[in-house]
Formats: sequence, C-alpha cells, structure tokens
Amino acid sequence: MAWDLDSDRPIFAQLAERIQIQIVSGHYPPGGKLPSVRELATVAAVNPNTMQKAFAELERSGLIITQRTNGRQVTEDTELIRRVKTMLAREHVRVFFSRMKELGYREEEVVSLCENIFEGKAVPEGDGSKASPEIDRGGENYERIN
Amino acid sequence: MNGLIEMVGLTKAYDARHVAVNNVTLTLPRGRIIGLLGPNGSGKTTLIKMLNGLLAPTSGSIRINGLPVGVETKAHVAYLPDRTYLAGNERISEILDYFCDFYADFSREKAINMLYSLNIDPGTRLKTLSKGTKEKVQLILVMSRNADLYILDEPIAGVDPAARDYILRTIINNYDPNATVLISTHLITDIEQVLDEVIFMRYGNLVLYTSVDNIREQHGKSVDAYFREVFAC
Amino acid sequence: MLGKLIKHEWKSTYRMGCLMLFITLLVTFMGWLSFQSPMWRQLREDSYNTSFGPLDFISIIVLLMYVFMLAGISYAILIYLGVHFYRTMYTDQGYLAHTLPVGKHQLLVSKILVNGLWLLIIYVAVFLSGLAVLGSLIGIFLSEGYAWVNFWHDFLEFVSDFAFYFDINDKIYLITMIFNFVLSPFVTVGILFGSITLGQMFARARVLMAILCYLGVGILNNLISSVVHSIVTFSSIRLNTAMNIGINSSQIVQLIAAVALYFASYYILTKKLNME
Repeated sequence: MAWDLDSDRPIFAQLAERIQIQIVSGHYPPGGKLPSVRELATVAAVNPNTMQKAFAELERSGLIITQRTNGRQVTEDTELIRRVKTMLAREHVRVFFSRMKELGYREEEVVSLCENIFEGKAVPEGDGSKASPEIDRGGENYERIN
Repeated sequence: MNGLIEMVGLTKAYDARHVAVNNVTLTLPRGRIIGLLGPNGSGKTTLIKMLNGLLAPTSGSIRINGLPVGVETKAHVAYLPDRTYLAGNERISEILDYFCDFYADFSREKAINMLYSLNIDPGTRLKTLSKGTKEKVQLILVMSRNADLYILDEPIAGVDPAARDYILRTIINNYDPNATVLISTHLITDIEQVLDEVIFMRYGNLVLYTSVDNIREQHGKSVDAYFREVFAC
Repeated sequence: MLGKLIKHEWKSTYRMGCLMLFITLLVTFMGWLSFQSPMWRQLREDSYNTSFGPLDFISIIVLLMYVFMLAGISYAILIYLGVHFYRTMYTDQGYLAHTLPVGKHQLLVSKILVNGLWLLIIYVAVFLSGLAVLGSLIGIFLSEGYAWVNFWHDFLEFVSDFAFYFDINDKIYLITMIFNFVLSPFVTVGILFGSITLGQMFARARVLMAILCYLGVGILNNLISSVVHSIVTFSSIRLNTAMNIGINSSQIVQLIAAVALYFASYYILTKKLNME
C-alpha cells in the first residue's frame, strides 16, 4: 500500500519522518537490517531517488548506517534512538498542548484531564475510556502493532 | 556527453500559424523519472514523437546518447505511444517474438511474468483484446526492455486505479540509475510522488524544468497545486 | 535485420495471399465448369446445328463471371497490398514500424520484396488459371485430346515462329519477356508504395492524395510511352530493333518511375516523416 503523503512538503522529508518513527518505535530494531531503497520505494510507491534522499537524511542524523557489504542497517546506538524518540515525543506533546490551549484549556486542566482519562474515570462530554488503557504504553505498543 | 537527451532550439511548426513545439532547449540527465506536464495541446506528444523519429523537426536538433535520432537511438529507446498499435490476427506471444527479433534488450521472460501477473494469456489474439488490455500489453512490451530511455505518453490516462498502481509500481521497480523515464501526463496527482523532476509546457513553450522537491520547498505546495496556479486561466 | 523484416512481413501477409490463391483455384474450377455444357461439344461435332439451351446460357454467364473474377483477383491483391502497406506504415500500426531500430532502406526493401513476391505469385496463378481453362477448351476441340507434355515445346515453337515473322532474336525476346513478367510486380508495388508515401506529404486527405499520385503516375506513364511509341513508329527505326531490345517503352518508364518514387520515399521517411 502506498504511503499517504502531504502535498505541501518535500516528499523526501516526509519519507524520512516515516522511517524515523519506524525506527524509534522498534519496527526496525537497533542494529537491524533495513529494506533496500528499491524495495521501500516500491512499498511506498515513491521515486527511488527520493527514497535515497530520505535515507541520506537519516544517515546524516546517525540513525542509519550504510555498510558496503551489508547494505543499510539501523544504528546500534540505543542512546541516540532514545534521544530521537524523546525529541519526537516532546514535539507531539508540545503540539498537543498548543491545540488544547486553542480549546481554552489551561495547562493544569489538560494534565488533570489526561489523568482522568488514563484512570478510566468518567469524563464529562465524550467517552475516551475505551481507548485510554492502551495509550500510556507508547513505544512497546507500536512494536506489537507493527 | 552530459545529458541523455539534448534538445537545442527544437521547433515543430505544422504551418505558419500552428507551432506545436517552439524553440525548446533542454538537457535531461540519466537516472531520473521525469514528468512532462502540460494541458492538452501544449506540445507534449509532438515533442515525444520527435524524440522517437515519428515527426521530423522543423528546426533544431535532438541528440540521445550523443547521437541524432535514428536506428542507433531507437535500439535504446522504449516508447509507449498514446495510441494502440496492436492489431491483426497475431497472438500476444507472436508480438513477443517480434520484439525479441528486433530489440536486443527485450526480455521475453520478463514480459511473460508481467503478463501472468496481470492475468493476460499470451495465447490471446490481439484483435480480441479490449482497449485497456492492449494498453497493458503495450506497457509490458515497453517495460520488458532494458533501455536507456523510456518514453511513456499518457500511460495512466483511462486505466482503472488497480492498473494505474501496477503501472506506477512497475516504473519504480524498473528504476535503473543509468536510464531515464519520461512520462507525459495531465493527471499529476496520481504520479507526482513517483517523479524526480517535472517539465511544464504551454502552447509549445518550455515553461519550467525543475525538481518536485524544489517546487514543494519553494512554493510550499504540491506540483499539482503549483501547476494549477501556473496554468490558471 | 532485413531477413527478420522479410520474415515478419511474410507472416503478416501470407494469410491473405493464401486466401487469394484459394479463390483463384475456385474460380479456375468455375472456368473449367463453364466449358462442360453440351453446347461446346456440339460445336465441335457440327458447328451449324448447335442448340442453345438454358444450361448453355448459364455456362456463358459462368464464363463471363470467370473472366471478371480473374481480373478482379489481380486488382484485389493490389488493393489489399496497398491497404496493408498504408495500415502498417502510416496508421497507428506505423508507430511500431517506424520506431524499430532498422534503416529505412531495409524497411522499404523488405516491404517491396515480400509484397512484390505476392503479386508475382498471384499473377502466375492467374496466368496458369487462364492457361488451364483455355487448355480445357482446346482439349474439347482437339478430338484426340492435347498432350500437355508437349506444351513447353509447342510454346517455344510458337515463340520462334513469332520471332521469325518479326525478324527478331527469339531467345533474347523470350528471356526479356520472362524477365519483365517477373520484374513488373515489384515495379508495380514500388510505384504503389511510393505513391502512398508521397501522399503523406500532404497535411490533409492523405489517402486521396496517395490514390491521385498513383493514378498520376499511371497517366504520365501512358503519356510518355505513347509519345515514345509514336516516335518509334514514325521514325526510321525499324520495328524489330525496338522489339529486339525486348522491352517496350512503357516498362522502362514504369521502372524509372518506381526507382524515382523509391528514393522519394526514402527521403520522406528519413527527413520528412509526419505521423498523424
């Protein structure tokens, strides 16, 4: 299945983000082998040169290592992967908070709302309880789904 | 020898008032998938027909692999026209023989595999094929060659979504860093993420030649959206 | 590559060619049948007392049909070859022909050789058909029958009588006659294909222009050869000199036209091709 891509940003940047998420979530484990450019380009239905560019981007950040004999693999530096993961998580949270702010929530209100949802308490307006127990597992969860 | 295709001052005038391609100078490199985009009547097909030696230019020159269009270039250019040339009583397998005989870079095995993956029986006679199937067979004939230049004129116009996905996947799968694929189309959205570079044409003139990521970075919009902006009436 | 082109050209024309041969065979049978009515035998026995029955009327009709159909076959094959050339070269199918990595000389030569050969085969078949039907008539009139094994001998005798009468060399005459017979289908096809290619030079109504070109060549040919003929007739050149050369002016003019059209076609295909 072709990957869904936004129309307003460079494709290679979006591809790099997708792969980055797959690495930090453990879909591609540390030290694990990555598919070839052509394979991944076919899966994503994108131009191989663009995929190549995305890989180059990830190589620069150190997440991917290219070995002449073995092809590409994910870095074994778990510390780096964790740093990237934290960075991405922070970014998500920041976006989340700014969205909630738009809705008129103050920061404490947001935090207490989150706690309520996670503890399975009834939340006024809307029912988030069904999905809530899964949310806090974060990374491990990704692994299983993928 | 820098580019795979070098066009200099390429012009085709059918008569004094109707200039289909006007003074196009363009060098296209190897290893790219390039979209030739423009509204109907912008000269895309005329340009392609000149690259394939089906139309003689009024003026200007074309070089492919450093050679003028001729026997030598045709041996290394795989061309999918915007029409079906398959007719008559022959079977598909016979047209495969034909391609084997004339194109040294044609792989019969590859063609057979692709036919089976699209559920087309090589024993079928050409005249019993539907228009859509003929188009698929022609694409298979083109993509089963190991050419330097693939020129596909409107390959995804009028095919169903499944076939379109197959075509795009075939193009990606066939990618070769030494070969270039030139695809003309007016359905930009469908094909945008497969392209490295795009050529915009209007009224026979070259408007723009740049990379897809360039357009997205500089204008913050997809090639399709940018195309609509450039060609807005 | 020429060999491959010839092979595939043959493959794409042999069905129609064989069909034409089969039709010729059927038509020949028709011709033979027309002489089987009672009238012809009666004519042999007693030409003054021949009764003309309804069967004889039918036989005359069948005989006329035979003649027309035989003429029809020799035109039909020419039309078929012309249409086939046009379709494979200048319609959508031409997109395949003109993007093959083969030279234009090879393309043209392969077309002319194969299609000319078909025309020759059909002409020979038509000739043999006429001979067979005529032979069956002769067979009726010669009471002892005709020994066909003697045909070639008798034919040569006829030619040498003819040659003696006109004071010409019979061997040269015979050889050039056969040579012309073999060559003329290729010349005809060359003119036909050249005319079709010339028609491509026009922006519109290319088929019509092709037909006009072909007719134009025919008219020009008639014009020139009749002029040449009258010069020969009214000048001091004796008839036997012209006949000794063994070729008449019309064939020379046609050959020149075919060669000229061939090179025009080559020029058009390499420098002026404009596929619609």
